[in-house]
Amino acid sequence: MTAARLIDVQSLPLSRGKRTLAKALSFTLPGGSFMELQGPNGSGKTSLLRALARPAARLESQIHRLDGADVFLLGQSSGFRPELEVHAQLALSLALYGAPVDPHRVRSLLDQFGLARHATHRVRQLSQGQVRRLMLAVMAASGRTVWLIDEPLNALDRNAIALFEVTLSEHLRRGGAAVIATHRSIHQAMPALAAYCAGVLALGSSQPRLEPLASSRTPATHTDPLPTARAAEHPLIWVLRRERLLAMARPQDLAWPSVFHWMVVTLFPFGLGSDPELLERAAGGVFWISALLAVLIGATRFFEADFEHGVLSDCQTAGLSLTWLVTGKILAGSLFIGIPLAVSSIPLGLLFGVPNHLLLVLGGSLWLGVLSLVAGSCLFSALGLMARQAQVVICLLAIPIFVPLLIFGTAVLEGDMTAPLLTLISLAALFLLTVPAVTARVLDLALE
Amino acid sequence: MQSQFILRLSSPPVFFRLTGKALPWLIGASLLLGAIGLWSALFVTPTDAQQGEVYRVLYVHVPTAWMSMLLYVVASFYAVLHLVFRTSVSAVMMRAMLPTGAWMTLLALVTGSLWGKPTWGTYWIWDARLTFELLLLFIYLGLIAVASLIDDERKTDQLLSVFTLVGLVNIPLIYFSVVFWNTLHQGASLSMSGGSKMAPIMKATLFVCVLSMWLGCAALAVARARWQLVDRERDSAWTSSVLV
Repeated sequence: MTAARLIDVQSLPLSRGKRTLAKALSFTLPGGSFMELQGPNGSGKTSLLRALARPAARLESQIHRLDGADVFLLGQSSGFRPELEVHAQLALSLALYGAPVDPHRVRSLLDQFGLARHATHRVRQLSQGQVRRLMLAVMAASGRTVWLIDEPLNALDRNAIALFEVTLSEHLRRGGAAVIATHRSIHQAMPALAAYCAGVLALGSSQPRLEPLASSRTPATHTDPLPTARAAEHPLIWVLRRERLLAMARPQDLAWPSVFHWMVVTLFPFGLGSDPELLERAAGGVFWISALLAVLIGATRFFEADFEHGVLSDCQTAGLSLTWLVTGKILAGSLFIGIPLAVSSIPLGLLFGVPNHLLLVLGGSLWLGVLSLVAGSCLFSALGLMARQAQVVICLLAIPIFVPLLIFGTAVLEGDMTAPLLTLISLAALFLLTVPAVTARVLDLALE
Repeated sequence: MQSQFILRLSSPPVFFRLTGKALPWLIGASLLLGAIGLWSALFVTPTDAQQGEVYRVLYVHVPTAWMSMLLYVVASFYAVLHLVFRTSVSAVMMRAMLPTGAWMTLLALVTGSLWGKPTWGTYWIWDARLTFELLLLFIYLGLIAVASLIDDERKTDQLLSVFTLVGLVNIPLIYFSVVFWNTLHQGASLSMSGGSKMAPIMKATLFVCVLSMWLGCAALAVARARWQLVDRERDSAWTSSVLV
């Protein structure tokens, strides 16, 4: 029975930045086999794996993934957030790849990979080898047909290496395929797998080609890859669930914007003097500027953690649209940052002599404002991923976007409030609808 | 025929050659018109009934203000072109507009401020038009910062295109702010539908000054664009014949 050709690459150019690593790579990987990528450091092994995982749009035509093959990338970064509990993170990762998730399955996976004792620990408490085991667990249960593995034997002890061998052979027997970038030759270290090896692609030479092994035997018969049952969770729900878990794991991240807001609001009367009439007139401006600063200061870190831990690139590989990710972040921000800030502003308004009937209006309008502020900050923090040292300068771009918001926000407290309030609502809606797509585009650029 | 010409313009060596031929004409015309406009502004146009001699700043202030907005709109046009076609020429033209635009905005703010002191009694006021013009300066500076602080050229081009378009919303705000809000800044004196409040000779002089400023800005931007293009393509064959 001929195996399905799972990956077919034709004349793929490989480059990193401006350097061309390979001019035209061509190889075919049938189901039920794996190929090894070897080569010196910097020869493009990781770049090739990433290109196979997320082909840039213009390369789509040169990488054919046939028969519905979808990929899993086991790279250098884990894709886990260190502050989450191990079982929760495992469940989230499985849900990301559309694998069925239930507590029993999670427990048995942790058992299988020797992490049962750490189920309720935080991911940051695991050793590097244990994190790699967890990544193996996600890969094994993900249900993806093609595994792209970067240095599988890194940090693994003997037991874990044996686990890897078992997992990989199971995957290959079921008709899956794998591309493995490795310094140690897999088919030599694990002779049992040599039968499945389609060959070695040695990058760094002038004409890299997939060379079959000298002693290649016909691979053992296998079944064609089974179609995997996809759990039908909406991406936005997944993002919101994750944000909730992250918020509960780091409550100080939620409290800080509100605390900063209180600090600034309380400092202003010391600076402006205690004339009640002045304070009442200045209330709107003080609250809004303070809210703006509170959101903007935390904004630089919106995407940093996810970017550094490989969560964003995992989302791309798993097929979760980054637009939904950003939408989820904005909604989560409006809930976890906006509500505490808005609610706490109500009693603070009394400090400034805001009339009672306006206190609720103050809170409500601030909530709408924080939603827009979080949306704008998402955009600029995505930009900041590429120019870390320029975070402050990038705020220059944020000011012209936020100033109209400020103008209408403060106008809510002066006299007729319907027009400014309606404008705030439409601005929030406008930000919520347009910012995610633009931010996703910027994130795509940052991930290239 | 015309579309073929435009397509050919997107080829860097063709762009370089054609703009090289156009540049001396742009500079010459700009200087000539500038001289005429300046002479007319200082000596030919009559004294204003209300403001006296100081109103002549108008002949510098208005062209710079219009240029600051126009250059941003042109940069946005090239940003759209770049997002759609991904050519080097469009990226380079977009980048070249930004420093000139920033200078024009700064000049507009400064000349306006100098004009404001004798006429309104203050160097600055926080009314809509001035505020949004100041924000425009921030946008230009922010975009220039993005352009210089991110290493990867191709990524920076795309980011600049996106953020230039995001900032485009500021332009209508500046332009129509005098209509929407009652501000200290005067309303539109020159409207499309005839009936302007200025004397014809003043209008003509202003027109000459605007044209001169427009050609001058075009010359500056094109010159900057040409050298950025050569820098980008320094590994190509055609640049070696240019850099002797």
